[in-house]
Amino acid sequence: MTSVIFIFLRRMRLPLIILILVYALATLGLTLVPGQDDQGNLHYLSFFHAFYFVSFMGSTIGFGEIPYPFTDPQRVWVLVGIYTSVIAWLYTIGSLLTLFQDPAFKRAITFQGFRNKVKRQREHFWIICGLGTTGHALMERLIDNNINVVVIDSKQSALDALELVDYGGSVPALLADMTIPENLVAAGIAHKDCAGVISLASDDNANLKVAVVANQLQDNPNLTVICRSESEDATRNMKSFGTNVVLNPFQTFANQFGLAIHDHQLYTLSRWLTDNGEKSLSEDKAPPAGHWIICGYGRLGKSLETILKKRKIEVTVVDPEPKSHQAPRSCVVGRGTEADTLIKADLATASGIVAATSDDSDNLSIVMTAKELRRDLFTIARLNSFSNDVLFRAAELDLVIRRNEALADRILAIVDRPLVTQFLRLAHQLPKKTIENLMSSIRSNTGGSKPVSWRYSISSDQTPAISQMLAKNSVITIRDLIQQPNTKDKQAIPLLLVEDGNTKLLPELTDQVLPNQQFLFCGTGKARRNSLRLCEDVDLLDQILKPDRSAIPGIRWFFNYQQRAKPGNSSPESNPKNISSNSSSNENK
Amino acid sequence: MNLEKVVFGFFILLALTVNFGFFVGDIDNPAHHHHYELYAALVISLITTVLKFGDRSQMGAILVASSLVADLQLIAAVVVWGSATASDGSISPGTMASIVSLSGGALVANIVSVILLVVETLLFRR
Repeated sequence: MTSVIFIFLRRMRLPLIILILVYALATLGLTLVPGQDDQGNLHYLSFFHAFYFVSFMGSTIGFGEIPYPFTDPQRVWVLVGIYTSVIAWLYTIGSLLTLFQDPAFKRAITFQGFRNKVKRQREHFWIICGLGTTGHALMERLIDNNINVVVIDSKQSALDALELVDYGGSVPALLADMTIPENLVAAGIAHKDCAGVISLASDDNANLKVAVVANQLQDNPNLTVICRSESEDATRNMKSFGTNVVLNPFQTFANQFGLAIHDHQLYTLSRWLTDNGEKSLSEDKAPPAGHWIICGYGRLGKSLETILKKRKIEVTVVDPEPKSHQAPRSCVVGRGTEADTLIKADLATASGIVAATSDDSDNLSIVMTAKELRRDLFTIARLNSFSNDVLFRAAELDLVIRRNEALADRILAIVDRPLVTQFLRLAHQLPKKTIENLMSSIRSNTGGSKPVSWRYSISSDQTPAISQMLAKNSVITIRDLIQQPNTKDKQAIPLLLVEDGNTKLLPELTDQVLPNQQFLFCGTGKARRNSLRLCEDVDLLDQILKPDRSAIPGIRWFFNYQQRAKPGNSSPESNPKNISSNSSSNENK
Repeated sequence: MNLEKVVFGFFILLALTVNFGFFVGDIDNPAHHHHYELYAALVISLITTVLKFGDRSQMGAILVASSLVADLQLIAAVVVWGSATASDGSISPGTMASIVSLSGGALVANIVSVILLVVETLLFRR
């Protein structure tokens, strides 16, 4: 608020002084000019009466001449007073209106409003710097997943979209340069509920500056910093400033593609758990492992080539300027839009083609030419501008590279589903057969729609009911957390157990739940709701743990009370011992 | 020399001197304290307050605060005077004493403001 008030006072200084002077002189004059009372005696107005008269004269209300009708000398002075005070008022109001129209003042007011909105945040929130295509896609995903966001961008056009679409509640947005520390502070980088900063500007330098500011200014050691970087150099630099995650949009896509070729099962599973798009369980066609042609040796082409070569897959590069792009020697010169270039690049033996240039019409043309020559080819094209999406959909390609969406999906997984990210990283170790079984059980569990995943952290503030039961010595198994009494709903599938940094993939249903463990489950939305109810509902949990007891709360309480009252059953000394023996036996397993 | 600085210093000093002029004399003798002087002290003090607006520094904040104190005390003195003379126009020595002591408080605030101005001037280096 302060800066707005200071601008206001500074700008209003002259009008206010003029107003005070005019009033003071008019009042003073009225007390000095001789008047007459009703008996014709000499009478001077008192300061009180004079100020009263000037007040309604200046505002042109005019209640009449008090306390006695004025003499002519008094009226002459009042005439002077009327014109000067009206002009002074007009000038004051005029300056006030100009001030409110002033761009600097308006900016100060919106900045203030933004800062207050952020200050009032009471839940965890993320700061998104840069609201380009990726930022926008990410913001929509985060809001869909009930995560609060604060947005900074320096372009009005990027923020306009926020006003046009209803995001259910307001998103605090600031039109400002994100590389200026003050703006990041206003966006809440030092706020205690700030979970992290995601910098997605298309300029690596801007992202680097955000990383530096975040590293220097944060009070909160748990702040997560995620940056987008398109060059090796910037990536290393950001890492040196303690940036937690640095993502390269091209590499992110290339890694995914590599996984799709190498282990299509795991790729599909990861799409089920992280993709935000379609709601049904679909399986993409698996890209074949044979010989690939990459048209366009830019950043995407290079990333794809590296990944494919790592997987020992033969690659032919097609590029119009192999020298300036540092293409390999075997590179075929040409754009790839003509049939003879593609034939030269061994299209006859190829199993797939990637059109990775930065020109959408070239990409479409490459893929269409290739398809005419070989119907069975696996076709992939890079989409650069979202406005061409319709064209790419109509072309019936096997895969369209939307690097912005791929990046947004990846960040969402890191931000919202850290355990899913961890699970997918570890899932490489699982045998193929296990993943196949897991996928078929997910499919039958959710009935063909996409599973939701959720996390359970056993702690007294997140799961008070469970902690309370554990403190009372109850034995809770994973089955209890996901099984519901009196419903025929399918139970959820446990994916991961994390305890003190140790992880266990696909834990058994009979495993025991202990404090400070974290679980990852997946299943239907209904199963999630039911399961999360257990966090806080002690009675429900009690009902599950002791299904033989009556379901009527009063009678249940009576039996529980009776049991508690029995001597020896739960004397204070035996409690800690039981807990320790339980936990140690579990560790031995 | 800067005209703005001249005006600023002029009004701050004037606020102090006019206020002092009203304050001197026997505390309960109405003949020693003229009401026009009190009026002038109040108007000048108000103008001084507005002149001090808009400086974000610590010194600026204290200057505005001291001016606001002076305003408040002078307004209180004017109100006491107005209500005392409302019925018969004369003023008792007791009322006069309270009016003058209120203006004495404002005088202290004005002295503080002048001291701050002097300190700031001495600290100012080119």
